[in-house]
Amino acid sequence: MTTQSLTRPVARLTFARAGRWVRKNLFSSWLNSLLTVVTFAVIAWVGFSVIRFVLVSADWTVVEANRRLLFIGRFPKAEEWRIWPALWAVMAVGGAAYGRWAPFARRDLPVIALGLLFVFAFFAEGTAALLVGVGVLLAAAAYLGGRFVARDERRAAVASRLILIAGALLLPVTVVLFTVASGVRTTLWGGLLLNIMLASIGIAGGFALGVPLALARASTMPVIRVTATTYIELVRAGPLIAWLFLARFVLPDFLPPIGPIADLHIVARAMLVLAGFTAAYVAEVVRGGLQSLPHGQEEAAQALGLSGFQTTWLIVLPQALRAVIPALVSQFISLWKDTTLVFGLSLLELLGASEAAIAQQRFIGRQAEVLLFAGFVFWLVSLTMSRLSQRIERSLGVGER
Amino acid sequence: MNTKRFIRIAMLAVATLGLIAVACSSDGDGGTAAGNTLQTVMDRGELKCGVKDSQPGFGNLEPDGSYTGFDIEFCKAIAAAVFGDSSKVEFVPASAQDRFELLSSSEIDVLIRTTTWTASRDAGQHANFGVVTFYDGQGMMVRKDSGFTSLEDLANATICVTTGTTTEQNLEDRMSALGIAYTPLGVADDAAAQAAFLGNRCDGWTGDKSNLAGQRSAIPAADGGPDSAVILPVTLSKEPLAPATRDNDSAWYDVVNWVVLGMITADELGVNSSNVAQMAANPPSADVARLLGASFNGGEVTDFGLGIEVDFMQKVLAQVGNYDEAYKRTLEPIGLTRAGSLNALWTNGGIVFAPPMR
Repeated sequence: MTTQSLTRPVARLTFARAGRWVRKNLFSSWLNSLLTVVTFAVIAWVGFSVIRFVLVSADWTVVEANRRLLFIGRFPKAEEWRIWPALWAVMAVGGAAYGRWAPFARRDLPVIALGLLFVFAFFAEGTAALLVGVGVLLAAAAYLGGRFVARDERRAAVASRLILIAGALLLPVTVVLFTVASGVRTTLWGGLLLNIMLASIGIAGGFALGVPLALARASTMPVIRVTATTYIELVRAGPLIAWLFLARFVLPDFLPPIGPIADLHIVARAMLVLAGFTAAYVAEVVRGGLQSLPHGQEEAAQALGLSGFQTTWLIVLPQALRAVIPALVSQFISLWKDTTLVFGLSLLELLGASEAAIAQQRFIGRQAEVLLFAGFVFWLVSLTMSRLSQRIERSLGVGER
Repeated sequence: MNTKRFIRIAMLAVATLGLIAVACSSDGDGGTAAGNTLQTVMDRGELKCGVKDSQPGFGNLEPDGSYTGFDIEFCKAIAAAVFGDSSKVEFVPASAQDRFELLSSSEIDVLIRTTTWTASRDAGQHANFGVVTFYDGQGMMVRKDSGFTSLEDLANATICVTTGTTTEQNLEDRMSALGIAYTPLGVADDAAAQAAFLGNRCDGWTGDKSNLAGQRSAIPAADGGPDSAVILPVTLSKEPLAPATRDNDSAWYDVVNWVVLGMITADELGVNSSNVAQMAANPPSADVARLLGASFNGGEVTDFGLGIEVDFMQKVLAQVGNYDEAYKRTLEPIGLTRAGSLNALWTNGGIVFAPPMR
């Protein structure tokens, strides 16, 4: 429907149709009318209060002043330079992947707009604005590059491989960048940065461990199957917070007394727990995917003369994983929010930093602003992840089999 | 059949591994940790201080990532005493749940985190509590225009109290002992208490003084600001806050204690950060000379035998200050007035008292 076709009669028709729809769905009986009025009154009142709080009565100086604390915690100022290249790399790879596989769709607009609004609200001045600006430009350039290579099939294939390799290197490179050359102790990682690092390592480690676990559980060899099943059932039997506390207080007694392993810091231990915990759930999700595959697939692969490894790697896993993307992403979103549980281990992640900000003498009583901000950040990241999964699903054609 | 046997073997293997792990851990780091923290700290060149990062006035994390607060001052003072540099502290945030674990597992050298010294903690948590740095206790906040100055004035008044806490019981005990009739108004949390208090639904608001002070400083300007309320000097329960070290670690325990006591002694003797250099060069009395590790009238310098530099208090006082300076810097801003409280010097009617430094 274009603008030209929206002439008066059509418009009137639309209004008439809208009126009919409203009468039919919202005011069909006196009870429905009452419910409609009450519901809309409640929604309007809540919406109005929230908007009034956000725009009028809230004092956002607490978030502004604690920007640093909320984003990176106690990361030393002199070492801040380590963060920027990592951020740029993430933005560039993200932009390239977006351009290559899933060029802009209108449904992505809210996420992109919110993300940009967020960035500009918090990095509006000084060198930070410049450095973030570089990142945004890099992302935009990478996006255009991705779109360009997508046009030619051969180039696209090369680009896909490059982007995937770069993506896989992002996390290890970032960790090395943070710690190399008398870098920043993990104790000083904090704020949103710590949540992101914990979640990334939890997701990467959980996936890398979970897929073999799923295959092991589906194995015909009893030792392997029983070991995998025992691990999965044991890990799933306890709440995450219990495992984190175990890692905090009990694990040190069980680690071999060899230098770096015995001194494994609490942040590293938390990362191990998050990865190991996620792995158990990922394994079960992937097992569901494995079971959904008809046996014919495997038999056909064997008939073609593929080895056991080739069958798994080329035939079984791609189809099984594709089928379980929604469940996997939902597991990862859940992990993302569970990273706040390290708050109980005295780690200064976003929620811990919020608590610290609320307790500052000049900001006592400003908890609503800080917690609203923290909630917004968690929501924004979760929203991005879920949007991402929808795009991946669509480009892989899930549900179109 | 096959599976069953494998399960049995697997269980045996797990059990064996567990036994090995337990055996390893018992002869591992258990013995090395306790004993001589002072030496460990000196070798490391940095003090690990367990603190709180979200308690107004006592332990705060500032926007720039630095720590401030009354407890923090003592961490810095200990670092100044041991290393001559108050900045050589690694602050380790400790939560209410893991603070004693952090201490017993040697992840911190000393715990200074608004921790009440109680018998069960002292005996049961392998902790050794030192000198009380702050006498906290349950207090009472009233509106300034009410004119109330004591609990007796609150006869037949309504008092806001958080339900289901020892606070409620303490109030009941104290008021019935005094024979004062009152109406308790149970509230769920601080936010509800503040709403009731500011809405004139209660005349008094009881809770830990350190917390009341924070709440008081949060009273919005529209409701009269912090100055519209006062915290009465009266104390309804004992909450002495003290630093804790590990059991059986007396050299370190002594250092922690005598740094705190030195700051109190300096307060008594009128030595502070601005006059310490001059006092050290030319001590006005033998007491001051002993405190600062300086010579008095050409006499010998007193060494207490703490195992750190004899002039450690000079560094503490120059870099951090005496007890009063630490107090004024951190607690007075949140409304915890020192004068007239338990935390005044014993010579001023309080109970802050240091054994002689000689």
